[in-house]
Amino acid sequence: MVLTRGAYRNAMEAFRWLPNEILVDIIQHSTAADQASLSRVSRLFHDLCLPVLYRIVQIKDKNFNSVILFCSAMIEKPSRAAVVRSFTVDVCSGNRFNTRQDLLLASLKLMSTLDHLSLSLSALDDRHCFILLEESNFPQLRSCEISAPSNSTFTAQQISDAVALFLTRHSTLKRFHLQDLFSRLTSTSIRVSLPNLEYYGGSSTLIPAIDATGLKKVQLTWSSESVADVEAIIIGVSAMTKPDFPFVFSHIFSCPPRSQSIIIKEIVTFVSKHMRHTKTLRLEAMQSPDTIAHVTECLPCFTGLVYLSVDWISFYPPTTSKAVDRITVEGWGKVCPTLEACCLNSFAWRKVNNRWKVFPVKEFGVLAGLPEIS
Amino acid sequence: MVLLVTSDNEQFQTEKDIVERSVLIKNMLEDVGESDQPIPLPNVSSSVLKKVTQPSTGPTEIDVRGRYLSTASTTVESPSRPPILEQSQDETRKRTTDISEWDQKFITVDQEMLFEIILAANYLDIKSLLCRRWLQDGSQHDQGARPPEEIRKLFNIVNDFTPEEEAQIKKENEWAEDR
Repeated sequence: MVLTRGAYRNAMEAFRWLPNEILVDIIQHSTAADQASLSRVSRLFHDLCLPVLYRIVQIKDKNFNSVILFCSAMIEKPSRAAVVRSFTVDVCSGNRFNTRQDLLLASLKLMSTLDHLSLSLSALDDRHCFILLEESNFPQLRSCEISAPSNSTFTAQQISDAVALFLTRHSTLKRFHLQDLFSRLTSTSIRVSLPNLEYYGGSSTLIPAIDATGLKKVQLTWSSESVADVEAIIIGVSAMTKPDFPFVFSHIFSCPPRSQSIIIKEIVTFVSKHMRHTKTLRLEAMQSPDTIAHVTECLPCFTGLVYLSVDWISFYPPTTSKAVDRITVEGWGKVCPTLEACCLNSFAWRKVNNRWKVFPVKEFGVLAGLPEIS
Repeated sequence: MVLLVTSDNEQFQTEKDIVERSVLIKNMLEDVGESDQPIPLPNVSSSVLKKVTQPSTGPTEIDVRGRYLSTASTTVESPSRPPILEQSQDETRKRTTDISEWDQKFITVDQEMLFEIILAANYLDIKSLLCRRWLQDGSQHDQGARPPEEIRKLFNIVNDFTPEEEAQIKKENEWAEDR
């Protein structure tokens, strides 16, 4: 082998004398487009590129044509679908849907060793999404993110049961995130055990159905239906966390402003009562002086709160000025000495030598374990 | 300071924190402990070692070299980023587009030198950005990937596909090249 490589070296066939593991390293650091191009260079490169190209498939910033091309290739060579470990479809197409969703579903069924699945809004419509939830089975799935449209032809009960059944088939999950369609979820009688679950993002109504022990981060979407159960849901989350582990708790809302302010108050009250060990608390909601005052009132109960974010949603821009915000933030700092940084009305504040100073929101997101804030 | 001896018997006095970016040397130093003994690097020539570890002429180059060899970026957006070779799937592909001026300068050494550097970086186990950059050979291809014909020409690779085979592969992987 050494001799052969040496001969290539003398012939200046550069790539042939570099060891394969270095070539694979190079390939791994190139884009999918580069890999596809490299796979056509020679047989050696073809053999080295293909496993890399099909291991992590990301169809991003493209149109549905790429999705269709990929799925057709999968159907033609099912053995290739079996090597896909991570599959992401992130296609922005306004309100248009993928025209060949059947093809996407069929190729997903072939991906038997899938570890990570991420489907953006409009990859699947509600009907196909429902089929995916009902029928798919990925024995090694660890991370799953699905966004689906909210105008569903199914009842909330049907969808909730489908989601719960999907979860029972995927007890390997470590991260699970469901959006939109599923904010309408209702409670279900099915119990789901997810021993590895660390992150849950989605409807709050599903919490009582889940059984986990090591949750580290939760993002709950609250709807009007859950008003009555706020305390039960917070207790449910609390039971799935470890008090000695820093916990990141986010809340977003999909309900009218009036019930929003009621739910926010309840959330803050019950989190400060049952989950004092929360390290990061985020409320993405409409604000009123009332809400802020209530947050300030509950803050002394927390024992380990380090990051607090109260950001507004786009429909309800903040009404307060930065000077007022500073007073609020200083007030928070006084009643909650563990607090190190907070985010209010799209400004981030950090305590430096006991004085609160503005710093980039993005930085706050990284510190607080909320990279989605920007 | 650590004394390194290259394959052509040249000696290099190098600062410890710089050589320790090489996992190989770091482990060696840990095993041996404090010692004045030179460390032999039989697989690395002096011209290559200069490129990999020695401070270059301009102050900016020293500066970027530090960043380059360490890859542990100090900017705020990436404190949690693992070294480039172990980083997450998303990051890997995202980062292929940002090329510092210095990376480009670095890459404009002649091809044989470039390969030697790659081999040395691999041997010394330096987690560097080296590998991925050279494909573009210092010039940027904004219009998608470099075509196979060009790669073959650039690196003197023989095409051992039949035209039909190549067309078939192109068709199969079109989803990745399609924009």
